[in-house]
Amino acid sequence: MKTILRNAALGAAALAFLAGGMAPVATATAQDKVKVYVSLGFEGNTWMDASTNLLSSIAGTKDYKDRVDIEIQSARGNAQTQIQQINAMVQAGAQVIVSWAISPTALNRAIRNACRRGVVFITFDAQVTEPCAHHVGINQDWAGAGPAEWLAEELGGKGNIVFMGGIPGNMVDLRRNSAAKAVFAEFPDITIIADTPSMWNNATAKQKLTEIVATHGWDKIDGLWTQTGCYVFTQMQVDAGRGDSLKPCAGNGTNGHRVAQLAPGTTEGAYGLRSASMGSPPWAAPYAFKLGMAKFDGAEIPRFAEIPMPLVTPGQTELCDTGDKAELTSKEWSCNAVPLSVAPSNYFIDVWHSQVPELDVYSALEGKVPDGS
Amino acid sequence: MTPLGALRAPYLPPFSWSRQRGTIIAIAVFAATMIALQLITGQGIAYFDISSISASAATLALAALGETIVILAGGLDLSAGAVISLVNVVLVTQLGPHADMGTGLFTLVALVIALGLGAAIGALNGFLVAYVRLQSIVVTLATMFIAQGAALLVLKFPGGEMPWDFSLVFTGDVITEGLPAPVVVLAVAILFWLLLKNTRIGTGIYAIGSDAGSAEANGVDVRRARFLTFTFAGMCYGAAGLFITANMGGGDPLIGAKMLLQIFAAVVLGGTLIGGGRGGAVGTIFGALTLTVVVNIFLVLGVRTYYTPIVEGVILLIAVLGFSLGRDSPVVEITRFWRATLRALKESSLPSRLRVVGEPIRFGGLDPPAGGGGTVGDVSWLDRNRAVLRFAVPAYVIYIVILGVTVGIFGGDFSPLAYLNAMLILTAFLAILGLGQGTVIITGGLDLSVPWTMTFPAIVVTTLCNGLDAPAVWVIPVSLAIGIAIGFLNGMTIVLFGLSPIIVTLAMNGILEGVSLLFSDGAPIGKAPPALAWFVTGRIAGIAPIGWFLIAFVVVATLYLNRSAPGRRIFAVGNSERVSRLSGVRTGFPIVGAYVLSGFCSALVGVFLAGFSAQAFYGMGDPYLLSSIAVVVLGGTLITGGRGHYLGILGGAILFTGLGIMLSGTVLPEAVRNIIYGLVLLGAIVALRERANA
Repeated sequence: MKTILRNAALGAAALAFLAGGMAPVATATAQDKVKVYVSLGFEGNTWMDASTNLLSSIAGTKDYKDRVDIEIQSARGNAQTQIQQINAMVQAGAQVIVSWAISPTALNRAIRNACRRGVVFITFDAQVTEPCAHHVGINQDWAGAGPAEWLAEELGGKGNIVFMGGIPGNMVDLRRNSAAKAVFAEFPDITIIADTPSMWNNATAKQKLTEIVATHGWDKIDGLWTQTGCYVFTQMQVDAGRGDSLKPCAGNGTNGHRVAQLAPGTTEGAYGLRSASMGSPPWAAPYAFKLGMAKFDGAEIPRFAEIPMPLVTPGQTELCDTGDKAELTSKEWSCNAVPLSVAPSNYFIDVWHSQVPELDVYSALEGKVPDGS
Repeated sequence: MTPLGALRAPYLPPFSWSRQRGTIIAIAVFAATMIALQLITGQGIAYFDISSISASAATLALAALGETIVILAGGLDLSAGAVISLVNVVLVTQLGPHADMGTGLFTLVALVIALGLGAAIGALNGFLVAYVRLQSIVVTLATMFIAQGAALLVLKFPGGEMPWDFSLVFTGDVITEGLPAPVVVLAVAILFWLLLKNTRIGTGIYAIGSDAGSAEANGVDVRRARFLTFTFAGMCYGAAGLFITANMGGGDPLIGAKMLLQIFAAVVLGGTLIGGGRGGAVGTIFGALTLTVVVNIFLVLGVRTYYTPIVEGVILLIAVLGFSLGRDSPVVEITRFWRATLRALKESSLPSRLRVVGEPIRFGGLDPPAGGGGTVGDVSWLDRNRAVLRFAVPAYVIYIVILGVTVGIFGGDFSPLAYLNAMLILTAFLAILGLGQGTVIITGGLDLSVPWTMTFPAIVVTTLCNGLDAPAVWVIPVSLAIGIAIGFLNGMTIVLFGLSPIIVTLAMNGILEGVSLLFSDGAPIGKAPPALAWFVTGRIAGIAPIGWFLIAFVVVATLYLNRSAPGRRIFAVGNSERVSRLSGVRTGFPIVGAYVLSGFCSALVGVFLAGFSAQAFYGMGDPYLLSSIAVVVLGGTLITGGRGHYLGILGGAILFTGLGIMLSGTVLPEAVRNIIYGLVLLGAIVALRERANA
């Protein structure tokens, strides 16, 4: 009972913050439900799966379920299709569009057209350059520089590192890479011996690492800075019989990576990995939805709502037992991993936050609305 | 040569409805989708609908117009998307900062740059295809890599700004609330096409697409026509690049990267026959419009995105079936054939049942040379295999050069055993895919369903095994059976309905994408069984088990493709389906067999890849489509079919892998790597060029 009260209080506080102190909006009838469309640039990895589930889940919570109609569409990686979907959404009477943009520039005209028709347009994670759009996301420069600083210090300012970016030509990729390279440039004894894209794909990351080890050999590599593939990097060393002297890795925020950072014996998959785990949190998606709704209701929201980037280094991993709403609330959303029996190792785990207290790990995994939300 | 035709008006056949069937169906399908959209929304067509749909379709329509010209002339152009990206970034970086010159002049300069740059790349393609006599699919694959690399060099990341007034010229209104500019753009495109079609160049395009030999004999300058084909196509891609730049208002070096498959779909929906000679660009433009409206219908219906690739694939198949069904369609012919065979069985008059009586037939009254078959042994091994060596050896030679450079660069750190294992593992993927894709290409086809035929079985394995070895005993065979079933479906559809392999496998790829999304509900989970992971990444006597497997695979594949009766039938079909049939080959069987083999090989590599990275991902097969084609071609296989050797394909796989390993170890930017890939590809096919008139 106490938890429920506390949840309710938190929820109310969050909403009050979002609505900027506005009077609660009366429950709308079925005919004039708010039309919310979600336009995703792609679909089909655990990160986007979590984001999509969290969006369906937040729209099903008691604050929104009676007044919002939500529809989710994906452009399957094609910018032209996403331009067209946004146009079609506007045509179909969209009032709020939440989007993950496939390109920061390609959608600009379509977005401006949407804004001119009074549509609230808000992006999460992937930003666009069109100024009428709002954005929720992390500081992408820090997403590159933060892990790079940790790696440089871990190596004592000297050594050979392998550098693996995402997809060349992508804005987020370039910002992270440039910021990281600027950090490494401050350490004259750190050399980037190989620089190759991972295409944000573990299979490609594994192939590229296999190729790099073939020419440079393990002995010459001291660490890895990557946007995808710390798991692969570590596994390859174990396979090569080098499991007892793992090289440090700075990389992404999957559950398996976080668990691996825990002291050996804590839980399955924990082996005290020296690494930095960063990530763009999937909870940005439901938070963007809430901000978009607040703006629709007349509140002022910022153009760029920066959310904190999780950067988890050794000793900072905290395991939740179940990751359900009650546990998260009682631990004040401080944990940053769950056992592998709850969420698989390749699951991007930054799915909960006090900004979206209605949701928990099962909202991300299965799109469930937690009890009482 | 001055053709006589130049002296008098060209002969124009009377208008015939059946000749226009493709275009008419394309327009009818578009009309039907528009009506469907209105019925679903319950609203009439508003001005905004027309403006928005035409703006969304114009880029695709312009690009597909260019592709139609190439396809009509019997070619295939893979460079369209990359050219669009390059034109976009050049416009934004070179012209974007000069917005102060006034909208009129700005637009004019933009037009000149876009069409000029597009035409220049097209002319390069055309020169290499027409005058250096290289295969169009390979030339454009190489220019695709180079143009994509160049786009990344010009603009490293999305950005830049085009003036709003410039955007309005192409995407705004010509008459406010009366005539949207994109409709005018489409009308100009149709006008351009009709003008082109009714010139002698237009006649030449159709003529060389129908039969290049006859065209030449009838006085068409085949080389010039082919050169112009690619140049005009490049210009259309330039126009598409210009339009999308206006539509976006900014630059993105990856903007065209995903457009290629949609471009093919628009061409086919427009009623143009892949392979050339029949169809037209008016249909293509309506095909592009249909593909656009379908997206809107899905949105209005709220169809879960998982189903869209399936529905698109099915629409594509139904449309081409509509174009191909008729009195002379293969289904009718095959039924006739089997009826005749059954009757012959009853009457015991099948050729194979007849006993040959008397002397074997001799040609030209010549006696067989004395000693019979023994004379073959007198010819030296080198002479007998000269032709095979000429096209299979270059890949190995280039690889040895690459190996030398690799050792040179990495000298001190180079570990031969680690290098060998990486080579074996990564070559295995491409060598296995190369057998499937190569066999299909030798029959004269192409398998575009490779990416999802790899990915779906891989997802099945990781989901059902989830890190355990025990279920793998039945899950892996089931996954491979899925690959076989996919190949069988591909092959049967191609043979029974006489459809173009490109369309069938393209549609299959889309359908499998949707099936995979549905099967794993959003994101694939699970882990590969440890035994499978060990098979790919473990070691037996210092060598990865898959490396030992590769050695056995190469022996079997070589014997099968180049030393067995089924293998010979595959080559026979690729050289001439008609001649093979008349020689007693049941041509359907080798063709279906080739796709079954390709399906199996794709599934096998997908399963191995799941073991390699321990997990399965959507898109894990995507990088392997173009590389599977590239290794087949690098190995000396003729893309039009009939010529190839498995050891050549293996050489292609080794070369491709060796190049990748060398480049990954460096700090070269990806743009430069793309350009190097393109140049190596071009260099290899120039080395493989036929000396005589092919």
